[in-house]
Amino acid sequence: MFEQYFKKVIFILVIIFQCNCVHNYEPVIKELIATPNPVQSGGIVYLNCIASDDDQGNMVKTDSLTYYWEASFGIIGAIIVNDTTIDTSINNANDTIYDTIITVIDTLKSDSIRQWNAPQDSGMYSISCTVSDLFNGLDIVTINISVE
Amino acid sequence: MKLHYSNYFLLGYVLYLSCEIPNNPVEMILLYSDRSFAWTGDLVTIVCEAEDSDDDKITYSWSAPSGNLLTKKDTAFWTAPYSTGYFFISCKVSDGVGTSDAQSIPIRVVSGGLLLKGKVTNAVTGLSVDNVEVSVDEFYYITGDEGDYSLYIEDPTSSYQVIAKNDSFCEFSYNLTIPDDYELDVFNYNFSMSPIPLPGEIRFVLNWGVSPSDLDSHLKTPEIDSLVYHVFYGNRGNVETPPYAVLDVDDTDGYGPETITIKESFSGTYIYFIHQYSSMGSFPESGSQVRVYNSPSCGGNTITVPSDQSSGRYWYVCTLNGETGTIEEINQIVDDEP
Repeated sequence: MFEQYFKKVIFILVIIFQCNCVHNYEPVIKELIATPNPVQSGGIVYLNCIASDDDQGNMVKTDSLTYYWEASFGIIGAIIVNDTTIDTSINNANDTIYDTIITVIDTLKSDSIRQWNAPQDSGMYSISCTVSDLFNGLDIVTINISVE
Repeated sequence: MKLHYSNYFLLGYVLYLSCEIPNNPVEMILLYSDRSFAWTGDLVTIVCEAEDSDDDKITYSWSAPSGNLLTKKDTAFWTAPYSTGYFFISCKVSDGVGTSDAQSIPIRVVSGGLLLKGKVTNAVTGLSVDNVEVSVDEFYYITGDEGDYSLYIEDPTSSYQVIAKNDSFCEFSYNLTIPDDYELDVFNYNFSMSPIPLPGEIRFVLNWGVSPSDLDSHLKTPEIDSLVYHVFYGNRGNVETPPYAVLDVDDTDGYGPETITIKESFSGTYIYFIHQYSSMGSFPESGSQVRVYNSPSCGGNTITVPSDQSSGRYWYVCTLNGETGTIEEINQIVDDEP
């Protein structure tokens, strides 16, 4: 009886190791939303990047997601309403500026919310959200915002 | 056959160890395009370089929210959309076993303005040079096999600095001013780049505009083994025997280059001047520039033809002290041969 039970435990452990140790599930961006889009020149666009990672439900593996924001033009920052930053994660954000590309990095679990200040010149502007996990898995989605 | 419990533990331990065998992640090395801008409908080539130290098969996923994208593994051909703006093209690489990497590259889609185009040539061979990054302001273009480039000039009434870079050549820069009365929407500017001079070499490179069509470089040497030499298109010199200087390229249809390289210099004064061979045009309107490259670096002098002296068929550019390598700028347009 005990031997049968022990075999089952070993079998289950084998399955767990095979399924979870060998393979990392990469994160998947489910949605990248820009509101409003189109936007008036000089206006504010709210951005929401929603991602998931199947490893997050794994009992034998700890995973978390990091979000990277990039704007092809202009600045991505925290959401500010009445001079108050309502997205507090920006306080720990690491802002990297090179050329006209602005990168904002923050670590959250399932989504990241930012705002983008539209420039005065009309046209299309790309913004990308990149999500990475702790095991070199990554996903990227780009959206165009029309400035009118 | 019954397995002892210790064998199950051994099996589990082996499986555990197998989990510890690391999968090295795929890594994107470089994402680059042949230019940073495009007019609507233009074709832009983008290349994604990645490596995986496990030799896992790398798959490439490309995406662009606007425009048309044709992909072939690590290369994408993007046709710019009919909307202007700043567009990202993204490349994601995956190794198929749980790791991936990605980057985006911004391309600005423009309309209107002025097209600055031309050809980059090797100042020593006269042949076109590929893989040169030619830039003006925020825009760049990487030359292809024919050495051609094209750049966007947003405001033709301003002055622009054209900069060209390639690791095997001396960096080239030129302050370009579009004439006030220029009415076309395409402006042509060809130029040449000097290979990095070898030890002991001193090189004179002449570039100019479309007119006059024929300018000729001349070099008069000091005494070498009791003789003086005159290097020009009628006597191109020799690098292994006196004068140890040679006319590398003789251009007769505008832009240049006209290049003279001294392989070994001797004590005394070298005289370097330009003769206007064509009867049409003049030095002041030519936009001529001479770049002197002194080995072992690309350091040297850049001498621009004076624009306020209208007469004369000779541009007396400079002298060179053959012993010290010092350049003395003369920079005068004169009637008689120096």
